[in-house]
Amino acid sequence: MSFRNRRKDVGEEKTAAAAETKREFERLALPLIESLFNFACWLTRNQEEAEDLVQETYVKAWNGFVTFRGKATFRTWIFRILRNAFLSSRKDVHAARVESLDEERHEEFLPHTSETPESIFVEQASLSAIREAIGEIPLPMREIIILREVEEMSYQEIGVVLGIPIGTVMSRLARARLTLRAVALAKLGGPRK
Amino acid sequence: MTCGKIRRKFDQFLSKELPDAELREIESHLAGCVACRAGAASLKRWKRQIRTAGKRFSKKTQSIHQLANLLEAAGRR
Repeated sequence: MSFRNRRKDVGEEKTAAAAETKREFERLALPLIESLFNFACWLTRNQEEAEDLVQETYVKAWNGFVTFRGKATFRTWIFRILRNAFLSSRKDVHAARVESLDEERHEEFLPHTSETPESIFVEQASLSAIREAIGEIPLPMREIIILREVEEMSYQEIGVVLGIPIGTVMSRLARARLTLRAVALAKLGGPRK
Repeated sequence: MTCGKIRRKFDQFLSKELPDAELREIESHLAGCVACRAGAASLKRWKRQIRTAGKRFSKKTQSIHQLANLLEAAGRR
């Protein structure tokens, strides 16, 4: 085989491998577009900004796809990219995050109540009240609520996306649920406990 | 486990994120505890409501095509 033919073969192999990588990326990434967009909307609270954030996430994920080793699932990996891109774009969000983590150091777990306040809440809450309340609770709570309840991520997956230990996932989630309930109840004119 | 400990694990129980032994222990507790059973059912309903409320924003199909073009361009760089 001549040198020129060998070079041509190597070139074709590289092209085929690149096409295969792209197909694999699209197979993993494109089905997540709705979820990522929804998450981005809740983070930014602005659909245009969310659109940009999703595009930025896909480009970053594609550029870093060769480094993706499957240690985390692809879904947690790309959600983490989106969240980090969002945080990088917002200096004030960085500050809010630090404040939230400081607070959590002093509160490993929330006190347990024997009542089941959700039972009252569930009967009274309307969809719009919950939706508004999700939009109003602090960002660290909002993001964990969406990852857990909408994306149905495990505590471990949430820990990977947010870069926090599982104990913090549990305490933050518990606090987020209580806050969400209180805000939604207040919208319905109920008691704010 | 006490009722308090059981309730703190409801969320993971509902998503079956606990070891089998703990899942069985909670199932057994729920079978005999009306209050905890009601609590678990409430949390399940509430989670469903949040899920419905939280799935709010939908992306247009054309965005997927735009994204595919964007990736194509990024891949050529």
